[in-house]
Order: sequence, then C-alpha cells, then structure tokens
Amino acid sequence: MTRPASADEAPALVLVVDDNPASRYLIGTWLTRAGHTVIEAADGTEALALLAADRTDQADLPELAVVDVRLPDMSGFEVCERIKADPRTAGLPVIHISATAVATADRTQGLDRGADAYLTEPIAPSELVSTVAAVMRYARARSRAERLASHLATLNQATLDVYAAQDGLSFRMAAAAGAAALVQGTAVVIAHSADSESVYADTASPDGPTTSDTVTLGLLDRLTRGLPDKVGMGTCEVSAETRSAPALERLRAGKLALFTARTQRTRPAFCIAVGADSLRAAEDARLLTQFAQACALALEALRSFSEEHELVLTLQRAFLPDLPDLPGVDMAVRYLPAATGSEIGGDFYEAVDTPDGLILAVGDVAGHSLQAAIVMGELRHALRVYAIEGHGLKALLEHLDNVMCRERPGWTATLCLLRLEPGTGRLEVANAGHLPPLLLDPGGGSRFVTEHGPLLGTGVPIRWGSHYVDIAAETRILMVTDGLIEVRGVDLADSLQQLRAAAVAGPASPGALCDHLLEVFGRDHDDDVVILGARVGDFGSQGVSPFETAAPGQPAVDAATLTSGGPVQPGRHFQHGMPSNSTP
Amino acid sequence: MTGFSCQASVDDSQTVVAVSGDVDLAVVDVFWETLDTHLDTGRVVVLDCSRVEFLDSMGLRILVKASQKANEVGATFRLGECSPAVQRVLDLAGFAEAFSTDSQ
Repeated sequence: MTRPASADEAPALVLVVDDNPASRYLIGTWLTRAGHTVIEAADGTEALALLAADRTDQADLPELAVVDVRLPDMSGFEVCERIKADPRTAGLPVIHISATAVATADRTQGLDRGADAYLTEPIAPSELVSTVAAVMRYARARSRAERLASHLATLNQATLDVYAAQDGLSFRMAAAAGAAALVQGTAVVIAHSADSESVYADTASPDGPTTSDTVTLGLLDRLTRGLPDKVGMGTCEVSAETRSAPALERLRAGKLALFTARTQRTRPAFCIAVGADSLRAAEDARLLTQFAQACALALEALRSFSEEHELVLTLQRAFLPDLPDLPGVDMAVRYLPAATGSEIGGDFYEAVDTPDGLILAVGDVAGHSLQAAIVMGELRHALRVYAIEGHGLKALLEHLDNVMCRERPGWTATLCLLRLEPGTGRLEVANAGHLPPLLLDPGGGSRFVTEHGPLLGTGVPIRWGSHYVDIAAETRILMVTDGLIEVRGVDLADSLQQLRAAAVAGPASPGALCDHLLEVFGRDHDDDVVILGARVGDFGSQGVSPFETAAPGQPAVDAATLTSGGPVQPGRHFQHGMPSNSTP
Repeated sequence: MTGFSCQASVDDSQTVVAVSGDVDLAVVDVFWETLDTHLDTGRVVVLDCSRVEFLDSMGLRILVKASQKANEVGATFRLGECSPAVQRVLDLAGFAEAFSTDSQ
C-alpha cells in the first residue's frame, strides 16, 4: 500500500557513509531510483568534514544520513553522536545499517545514542526507501514546527517592538526591522507619520542599516491600487516609474509582495513591501499579513496618542497666559512640557498688573494628568481673578487654599507669589511651599528668599505674613518649578545651589538667562518645567540699598540656611517642629 | 530607583506605619490605601519616614490627604522620624504647619 506523496516525502539530499564501496554503490542506487540525491563518504572523518561549516552552507546540508555502524576510523554510533551534538546538524536524522551478525544490544545502543532508525542486513531496497521516507516525514514535520515556532517568536518580538515605539520614526524602524526579520531579507515599510501629515518609506534588512525616505502619498496609492479594498495581501507588478522610487530600489528586481492593513476604511493604509521571491512558504505570507495588521493597530494607537497629547498641550498652553508688556519690567518665561509623552503636568505661571503693582506667580499642581492640568487652569484663573480684585498676597494664598480645599479636595499645589511694590523698591514675597525665588543683584550678589508657608490644599490656617525684600534697580528675579532641577538622589538644596551658580554665570537678559538655564539643566525632563525671569527697572526710584535695609523686620535668608539645616533664623516664618528628625 | 515598601506595626497605643524607598507617583495608590485603612480604625497613626529616600509632590499630597482624613474621621495622624530627604521636602513645602508631628 502506498500513501499519497506529500511535501514531507519529497526527494531529499542523502549522505551515505559506508567504507565498503560496493555497499555504498548499492544503497546509493536504491535511493537515487527513489528520487533522492546521494552524496557519499567512506568513513566517519570524511562524513563529518563534509558536514562541517567550512564545507557546506546550512541551506545545502543533507537532510538525512545513512551510516554504516562499522567504519574504519570510528564507530557509526560515534558519527551519529557527533552529528547530533553539533547545533548545525542536530536535526539531521540518522539511519544506521549494519551487517547480519549484530546482537539486539547493538541495535538498542545505536538507537539509544541518537539514531532515528536501525536496519540490519540483508536490507530489502523497499524497506530502506520506506524507512527513509518515514524518517524524513517525521524530521520535516519537526523542522517545520520548529521553524514556525521560531517565526512566531520573531513575529511576537516584532509586534512588541512596534507597540513599544514612542514616536513615528521609531515605530517605522521597528516595523521595517520586524518585517526584515520575518522574511530574512530586505523589507520596506510605507506608512503615514503619527500626525498623518507625511508618508515615509523605511527600509531594513537583517544585517544592513535601516534607512528612512520621505515618499509621496501617490506611491502608497499606486502600490495599493491593485489590491481588493486596498487592504490585505497581494503580489503585484509595479510600473518602472513606481519601482524607481528610492525606497523600492533597495528591494531586488522582480515582483513585489505587498501586505497592507488599516484599522478603518477612512484611515490611511499601512504597507509592507518585500520581494515576492523572499517569501519561502505560505506561512511567511500569513505571518507578514498578521504583522501588517499589528503594525496598523500600533500606528493607530500612536496616532491617537499623539493627537491626545497635542490636544492636552494645546489646552495647557491655552491655560497659560502671555506676559503683559510693562514699561520698566523685562520679563521672559519658558514653559516646557514633560519630555515623556503622556505626562502632562500642572506647572503654571502668571503675571498680573494690578494697581498695587505687578504680581508674578509660578506654581505647580501635584500630579501628571489631564486632571492636574485642569486643576492648574482653575487655580491660575482663580489667582488672576482674586488678584484683579485687589487682594493682597497673603489673602490670595488664603483664598486659593480655600478654593483648593472646597473645590478640589485631595489636590495640593505649591505657589510662589511676588509683588513689585510701586514707588518703594520693595518686593513682597508670599510663598506657599514652592521653591524659593532667586534674586540676582546687579552688583553680582545673589540670594534665595526662603521664607514660606505651607503649600495650598492643606486647609491649614496661614499663620504667617508675606515677606518684604528691598531690591535695587536692575535686579533680576528668577522663579522655577522643580521639574528643572529635581533629580532623584540629589539633595534639593544642592540642586538649588547649582541653579544659583548657573544663574549667576548666565547672561543678563531674562530671555537669554532662561535659555541658558535650559541648556545647563537640559531639556529632556520627565516633568514639566517653568522658568520665569524678570529684570526690574527703576520701579522704586528711591535709591534703595537692597542688602542693608530689610523692611519690615525680616532679613532675606540666604539659601545657606537650607543647605546647612542649621538653626532656623529668626526671620523664618515657619517652624518645623520635629526635634526627633532634625538634620545632622 | 529604590524599592518602595510600607509596613504597619500595631501596639497598644498606636499604629506605626513605616515607609521606605522612593515615594512617588508610581506607589502613591498603594501608599494611600495603607494609610487610609489604618486611619479608618480611628487609632493614632504615626508615619515613620526615616527610611524614605525620595519623596515627590505626589507623595507629599498623600501626607496632606492623610492629615485631612484624620481630621474628618477623628483619628490622629502624626509624622514620626523623617529622613533628611523627607525633611528637606517638608521644609520647602512649609509642611510642618500642616499637621501635628511626634514632637507636638
């Protein structure tokens, strides 16, 4: 009875190892008649040398070995063991043959040491041919399963990589590299950017660099025109003109196999192009189809993420005001959203010109979310309204604390308020738990104003007044949020000293100073950053000597107080009554 | 990044919640749940921060929430020993005024 031939029983390249030329010839003839191709070796050494990497490429290795048990240089068992021990040839099935006079123990030894079958002479030609077919069937099924498993692992990794991509370029690089790994050849990925405004073609090959080209929407249209619904998988001839696009020139000549997918009909298609001849089996096409679908979904996620992020940034910017243009005060502000995409922070700034003087504010609502941005917007708006109403700084903080506790229980914010008092040259400071403002004296001196009370949102009655500092004309004022300087494992007081040093060494104009600080502390923060700089002209016009007359009462406390953790200066309004944990 | 952990020990007079590692956005939910549960018992809850290596604004917000919750439910929430990193943040935030500490 004969089974129908299947791919698993297709002719194979068979290695015959036998020291007896007559036996080799006989076995070779039987196998050749059955359609196989035969190569011969006369002993173990020759057989192993033939299989070695320097003689035979992986793709040209025999698919099966017929090995005589008795060889002049080593036993057939040893040849089999060495074949199975080498990762290159471990999957090569071995059929032992031996002379009549073998004990059962020899046969079991052969099988125990790795052989896939054991035949004893006299061997009927049909028995050998059927045994070869049976062993091949099993070996090919196993190798197919292993290859599929390995391809699925590759698909899985490639899918993870495209989903891990944070932006359009890294997405396309990951998609092209994934497709190249799946086909073990060059692959081109043609996709819209995350903002859907441009089309790019990225090319990757397993061992070459990945390149990115800008292409036209027309190319994607032309490529997908022939496909049903412009979605799915298809092989097509493309015109010479299309073919001459730089991205596609990197694929070998011949037919292109295209795999396109999109998440909805209204969405642009995502396309993978490979040379049709690099698809080795039907499963390659299935894998690439799946991968194209995964890529389309990942790109869609990236796109909606990008849109959402843009929306939140737009909202956030809408919450943040333009600085008023006032004579005598030169102001600049830098606002940087967090570098890592989804993190939207609650940093804000404000500048309100009131009859009692210009009020400057920098604050930070705790948390990173759209919600934090909304709370920030409310807080800033409330601040503006209360300030226009003419409330003093202390009253502003009290009102805002009240608003936070009533309207947004559980939320906290830090806020530093400054007021330039007209006609006196005095700066009023009321700081609710925010980083201290830095004053840069025109003479080169610098000082933090560290007096402050609790942050907003605690509902704790404010038992402190605001603090007054005299400043000279041309004093520069700097307020920042902690996103600029906060680094895990670095004492915040040290970071403040770095800020002071960088500011002192920086340029004079507020705008250039802000930019300088961004350069020094980097732009790649995972938190929002606000830097507000102001240079005040001669708004006091009373010849103030800033460091000698500190009104009413309190001297400006230098940041050294913060650094040393030493005794609290008398002027400091808050007391941290925790003797059990005073800093050493 | 240091591993966060939060352990409570209960004795006759109070519950001491000892927290260590980095107290930031990544752990605030767990941190809050622990404090919330213990505040619900109405006992005196003391937070030992002596082994906290990093406290950010979100961590600080949990301390404020705990203090507010204690006021609401009539429990007592106190801050125990604080590491220098925590002390620095508390000082900057003017937080000592916000609730009672072991010293008061």
